[in-house]
Amino acid sequence: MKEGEHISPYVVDLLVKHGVRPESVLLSACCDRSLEDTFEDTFVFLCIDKVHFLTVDYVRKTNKVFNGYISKRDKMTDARENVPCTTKKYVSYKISEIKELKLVNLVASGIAYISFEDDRETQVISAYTNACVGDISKIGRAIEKIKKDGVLNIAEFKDKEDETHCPKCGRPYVDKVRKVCSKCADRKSTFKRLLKMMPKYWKYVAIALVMTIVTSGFNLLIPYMSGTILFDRALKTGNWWSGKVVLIVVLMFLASIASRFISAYSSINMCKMSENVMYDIKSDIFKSFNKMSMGFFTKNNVGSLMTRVNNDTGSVAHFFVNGLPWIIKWIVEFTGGTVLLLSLNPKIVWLGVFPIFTTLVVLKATTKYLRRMYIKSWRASSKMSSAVSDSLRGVKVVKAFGKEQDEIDRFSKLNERAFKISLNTSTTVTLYSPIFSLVMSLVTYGIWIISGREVIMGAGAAVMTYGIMQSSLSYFSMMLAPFTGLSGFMEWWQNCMTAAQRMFDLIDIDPDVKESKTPVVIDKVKGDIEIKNMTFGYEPNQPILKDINVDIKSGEMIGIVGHSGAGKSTLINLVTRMYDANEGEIKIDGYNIKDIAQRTLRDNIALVTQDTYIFQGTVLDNIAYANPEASREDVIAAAKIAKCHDFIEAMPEGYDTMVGAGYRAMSGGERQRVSIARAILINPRILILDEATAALDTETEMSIQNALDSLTKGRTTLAIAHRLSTLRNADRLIVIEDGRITEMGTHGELVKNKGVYYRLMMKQAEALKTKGV
Amino acid sequence: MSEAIIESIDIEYIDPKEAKFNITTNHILTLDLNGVHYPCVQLHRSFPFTNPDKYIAVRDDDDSDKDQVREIGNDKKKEIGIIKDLAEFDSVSRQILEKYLELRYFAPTITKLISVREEFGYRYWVVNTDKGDCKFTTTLNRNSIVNLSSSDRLMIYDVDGNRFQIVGFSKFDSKARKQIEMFM
Repeated sequence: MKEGEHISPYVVDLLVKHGVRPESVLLSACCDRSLEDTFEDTFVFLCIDKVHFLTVDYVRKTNKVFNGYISKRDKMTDARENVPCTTKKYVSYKISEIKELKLVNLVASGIAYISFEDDRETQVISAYTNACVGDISKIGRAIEKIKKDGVLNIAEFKDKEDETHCPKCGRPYVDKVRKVCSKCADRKSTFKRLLKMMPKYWKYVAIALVMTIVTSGFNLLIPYMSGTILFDRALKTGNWWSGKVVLIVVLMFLASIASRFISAYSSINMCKMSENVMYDIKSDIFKSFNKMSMGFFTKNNVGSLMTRVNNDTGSVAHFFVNGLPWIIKWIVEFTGGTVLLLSLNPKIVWLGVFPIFTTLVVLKATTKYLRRMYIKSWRASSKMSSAVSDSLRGVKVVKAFGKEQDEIDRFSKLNERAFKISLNTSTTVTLYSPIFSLVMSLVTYGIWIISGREVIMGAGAAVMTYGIMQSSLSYFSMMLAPFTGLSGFMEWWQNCMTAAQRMFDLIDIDPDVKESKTPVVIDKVKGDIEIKNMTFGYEPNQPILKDINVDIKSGEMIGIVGHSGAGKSTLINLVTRMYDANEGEIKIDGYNIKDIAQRTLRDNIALVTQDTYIFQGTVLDNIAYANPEASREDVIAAAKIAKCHDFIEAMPEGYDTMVGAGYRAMSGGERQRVSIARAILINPRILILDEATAALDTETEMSIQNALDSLTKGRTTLAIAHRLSTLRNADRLIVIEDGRITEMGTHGELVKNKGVYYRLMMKQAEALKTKGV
Repeated sequence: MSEAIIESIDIEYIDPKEAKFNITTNHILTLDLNGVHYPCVQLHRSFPFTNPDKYIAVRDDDDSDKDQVREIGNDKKKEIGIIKDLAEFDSVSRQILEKYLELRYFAPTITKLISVREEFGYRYWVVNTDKGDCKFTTTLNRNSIVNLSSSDRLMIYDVDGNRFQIVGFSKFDSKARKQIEMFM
């Protein structure tokens, strides 16, 4: 037995006390709930001949730690695996006497029962939460296997370590789909990761850096000239500057112009960088969207994903464009201002403490609040865009039920909320300015009093001159400039970090369906499909397909029949590798589908579904979508086979007609035919038809059926259809019921069996009769 | 309009006087109704958030005939009827039903939020609940916290789909409430 996360050494000790050798344990699981509705651990150990159930009592108060919880500070001494325990109840059964380990699903939990081969009454074992359901259901299936085969191939039941655990620290992933290790990801702070993106734009950064330093240099020079040099030198005698007021003014004017020019150039440079950064980040995010498997898109709202691409990239680009030069400018001006101030008028430097202190106090008081407000504000605007996308997508329903006003109200509510949050945030941020200005005015008066007194008292002694006082006033405000802008800085910093975190979150997602490290490229796919002991569920404990076994020969046409929700489309999702099977395997031409190059799969499997999608572009683009290199002849030929050539020709712009959202509308039948032509054009070896004609009227369906008949010839075809008549050409039919294959055979065989297929066929015939068809 | 709908379909309500519910030692809910014994039934709340004690469907969960081929389109868990309101039952039956509902709709009620922190795509919670102290993890997705506007109950779903609830959210500790509101 390999110690899992839930099996502590204390539990292993107890197991040994009950005479079980740990090495004889094949699989283990933990039911974490008692039937009295408290948390209680009952461990389940499966050996080849027996199952052991051990309920424990912990010697001190424990914390129930659910999957995924990680803490670096908290040593979790109160977590159950770290607390000694004693046996509360122990029971074991021989596999031979057990009929099955039955799991009754409750809401986000379940109860495990053991039923017996003899007439003993079913025994309740324990309850469990969703945290344990994966392991416990594995034990149930393993018992089934042992009873059937007498042996157990343990590898089939163990998760592959690299898919479930972080390769760096070995901890299990919180989310097996996302594969982001919180512990390891944490080490790289968002800010550091952002900085790491900088080298790519080093040219822009270098220019920005030099320009900012030069501009800051000028900014430091001008007060010195307008103060010390103008008043203390030019207006006095006995030095080189004496009387050269015009020269000084000209020099100041030139410095000012140079500074403006450099600033303008710097802005252009920044704009270029900004566009580049935005372009790259958007591409990165869009790329990461495209590598996601279907599961990601079913779990995430499209509107909120769009907000991420549009708004978040803007906020992150803002970091590069405004944030960084700002920081450099502050550093240069703060250091330069302070140094010059110390050398010119050190007595007033300490006055800076007041505004700095005030700013820090105000910031400290409001940072948490602001952070909360920024997050709230982001969530509010995200909800708003979700509502807009929701409403626009469902515009037909909105109009059909006359619910325009309700939609406006729904949007207004969200808009109002976003407005209020935004207003509150801005008001708080704006408060900084008057507070800071007030303190600054007071401090300036202080400088006037201290320095002015010295200028008057020390006149002639050159301790403090009017020029020095003027310059030091400018340097004083320069020294405090970073603090004046701190509130604004905080705003973009918070915005940028929140956006960057979300962005990295997306980029970090490791897709659950990914290319093998050594992908097999098959030149000519034959089209044999073998599905072996396959089990799959979208949720870990709810298998949609159970123990599917089927052999399909190249060129065979298989019809898949079953009621809605039986798992037909799921089977197709797995054959096309939109998802990967949880257990068992799918082989194409003898190779596991997980090892075959994605390119090979996409080039050889074509899918025609009920929901056809027409992209924005010409009809030609749409047909040649999967094979853009196809010749015009091929496109026309494919369109002719798919029976769409005639209607395309009837359009004034023919194949060059723009279609898709905002352009020429296409009827359901037209779209379906274009999507069939799209499939024909890649000349697939395996063709999958998922209710391809279900949305069409009988006449259109018949004409498309003819198109499909010519398409399926010589290709391995899997076709799902509710209307059984459309499967009349199938070589074999598979009936899927509740995730299992219950019948398989030719039409004749299944009719003879008088099973589900037969009954379904009779019912459809009856329905047609009633309708008078 | 709504009367027309109600008239067009026959909703089978369970008569509290005719129905006798029982929980076996194996924690299986049984029902005796109009002379028929159902050895295993399940309760499904139709409106678990907004009306948890009303419109509870009673479904036959007996799978002793699972080897027989079912007809396509027929749901395995056939509905026996709907309990219109738990309050219509006598206290003994109501206690049985409530106990079973509690078992089925397992969701520890959070009594105190000790801490919650966000780190790289996850939110880590430390809470006290009526079932014991817990630490759990949720994603940052908006749907990990559900608050129906018409109910004062908050449902929090962890990465495995385990459910934790806050009943009476508007009266929950104000500091914790502000913190949680930020995630919604």
